[in-house]
This record gives sequence, C-alpha cells and structure tokens, in this order.
Amino acid sequence: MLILGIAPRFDEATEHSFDWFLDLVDELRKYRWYLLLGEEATRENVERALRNLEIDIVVFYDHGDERGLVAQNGKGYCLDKKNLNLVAGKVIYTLACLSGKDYGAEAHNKWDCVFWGYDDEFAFNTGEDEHLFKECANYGLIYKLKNSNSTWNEAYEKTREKFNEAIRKAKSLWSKMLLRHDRDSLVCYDAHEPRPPRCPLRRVAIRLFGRAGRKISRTFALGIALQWLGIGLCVHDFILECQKISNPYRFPPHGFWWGTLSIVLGFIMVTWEHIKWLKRKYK
Amino acid sequence: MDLSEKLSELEKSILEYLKRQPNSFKWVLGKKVYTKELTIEKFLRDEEFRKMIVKEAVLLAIDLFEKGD
Repeated sequence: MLILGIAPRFDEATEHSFDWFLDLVDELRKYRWYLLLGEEATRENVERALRNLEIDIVVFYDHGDERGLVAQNGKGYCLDKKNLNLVAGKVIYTLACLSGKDYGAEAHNKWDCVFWGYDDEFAFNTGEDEHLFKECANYGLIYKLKNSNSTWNEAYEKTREKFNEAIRKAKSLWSKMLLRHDRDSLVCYDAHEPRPPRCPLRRVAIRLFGRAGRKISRTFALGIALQWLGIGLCVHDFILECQKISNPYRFPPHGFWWGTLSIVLGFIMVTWEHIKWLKRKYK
Repeated sequence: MDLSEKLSELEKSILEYLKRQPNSFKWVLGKKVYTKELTIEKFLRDEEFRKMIVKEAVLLAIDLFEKGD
C-alpha cells in the first residue's frame, strides 16, 4: 500500500496541521509514504505523483474549501474537480474544511472515491487541549489501517466515539464546543452517502437508479430523454402511417422527422458525454 | 452605549467566559486564527459571528445533556 501524503505549510493554521500530519506519518510509519511537504505541495507535484505512482490513499492536511484542497501558499488547488480523474477509486483522507460539501460529494458520487473529510470548517483550540483535536483528526486513518479487516463505517463510528471521549476529557469549555462542532462536521462518503442534492430531478434519479443516479450527468440524461422522445414520435407516426391517416408529404414535416432529429440529437449528446468521460479517464 | 448591554443572558455569559481566558487563548476556525482580543471584539461587533458562537454553545449544551449522567 502506498500513501500519498500532502501537507502544505504557509500560515499559522497549517503550522499546527503540519505537525499533526507528521505525527500521523510517524504513527503509520510501517506503511509506504510518498510525501509532498511544504513548498513541494503543489498541483504539479501532486498530479505527477498520482500519474506515476500506484497510490492507494491520498492524505491531505490542511486548508480546503467546497471546490477542492488548497495548494502551498494558498495558490490554487492541489486537487479539485478538474483532476478528480487522477484520484478515481482511491481513498481521500483530509482535514480540509468544507471539502466534504461539494468536492468530496463529487469525488464519491462520480469517481467512486472513499472520501473522509469535513463539510464545515474544521476548528481547534491551541494550548493544552490541542492534542485532543490532533488525536481525533488522525484517528480514522490510524484505526482503519491498524485494523485491516475493518470497514470505513467502523472507522467513522470509532472516530465519533473518539470525539465524544475528547469532549469529556477536554479541560476548556471552548475546546468541548469546537470538538462537538468538528465531530458533527465529519463525513465519510463510504460509511454514508452525501446529503441528497437539491435538484428534484437528481433526487428522482437517485431514487430510481440508486448510486448510479448520482453519477448521471444532465447532458447524458437529456440525451437519453431526447432519444426516447424521438422513438415515441417515430412509433406514433409509424402507427398513423399504417392506418393511412396522415399524409407523409405534408408540410411542416410530420412526427417521424421530428422523432429522427430528436434521436440524432440525443445520440450526439450521449456520445459527446461518453467521449468527455473517456478523455477524463485516460488523461 | 455599551455594546454588551444589548446582549442576551447567554451571550453575556459567553462574553464573561471569554474575558476570563488567559491572554494566550487562541483558536482556529478554518483559515482564521482568533486571539482572545479578536474573539471578544468580533463577539461584540459581528452579529453573525455572535450567533454562530451562541449556536455552537447551545449545541454543546444539548450534547452534554444527551450524553451526560
């Protein structure tokens, strides 16, 4: 197993998370790590590593937002939706704030990643309770790797228990408050699914097709719908022709031609989506 | 007018708690680092921030009651 560890270090928050990350690496030192630390934590280096190495798990500490995981010096992203193809099917374990909201959901829905992160801002107290935050942040991956037969769901539940224990142990009320906040922001998209999307059509798709409903793109769905509409029009027209009701040479053109146009349009849309998917997959 | 006069009882308690903290009190929320002074300042002047802290305090209280003896 090879773990890609990415830890930018450029502000006060990342000073702390960097140390937490090193503790995590030390705790899991029997595994093979490929580390991109500080100045090395750039998009180019991350993409190169993901292309050239057989990475199983991506560990990223610290900053992020809904769009992705922020690179060194806050300049752009190491990982965002544009390079999700490089992490398809892998585990992403991160401390990055808000990444579970949109980026993580897409990584799980469309690229079959196991995503461990936070759907709100990660908060911590410095001082005597800081070690509790570190232990909770690192615990999920440590539990999962040290108990090889365990599932991500078990790791998630154990980590929530760890947070509860930390809430009890914390000396300051402020720490307890922040630990509770972090516990309820923790997401693991494998143990559970991301929040249902707002789009009612997407909800219907999920209800009808389950997990596949989360992956279907709008263009693809519209393409399929157009093809079925076209087939319907053609069949309808064919029946009318058989009954000799309509005149096939009338103007404007009758349903068969609209149906054919609809099928062709739908086919182009579906094919275009497929080509896009293949391009992303083999980029 | 003193800004703290407009606060609710819970908000006043939180403010008192913050004032009791040592000067080394520091916490991080996302990318932002809050010192004791900054936290008090924001708590008094930024309504959104104050509401967020009050909400977190209430959620903690609920959690403690639910899990406590």
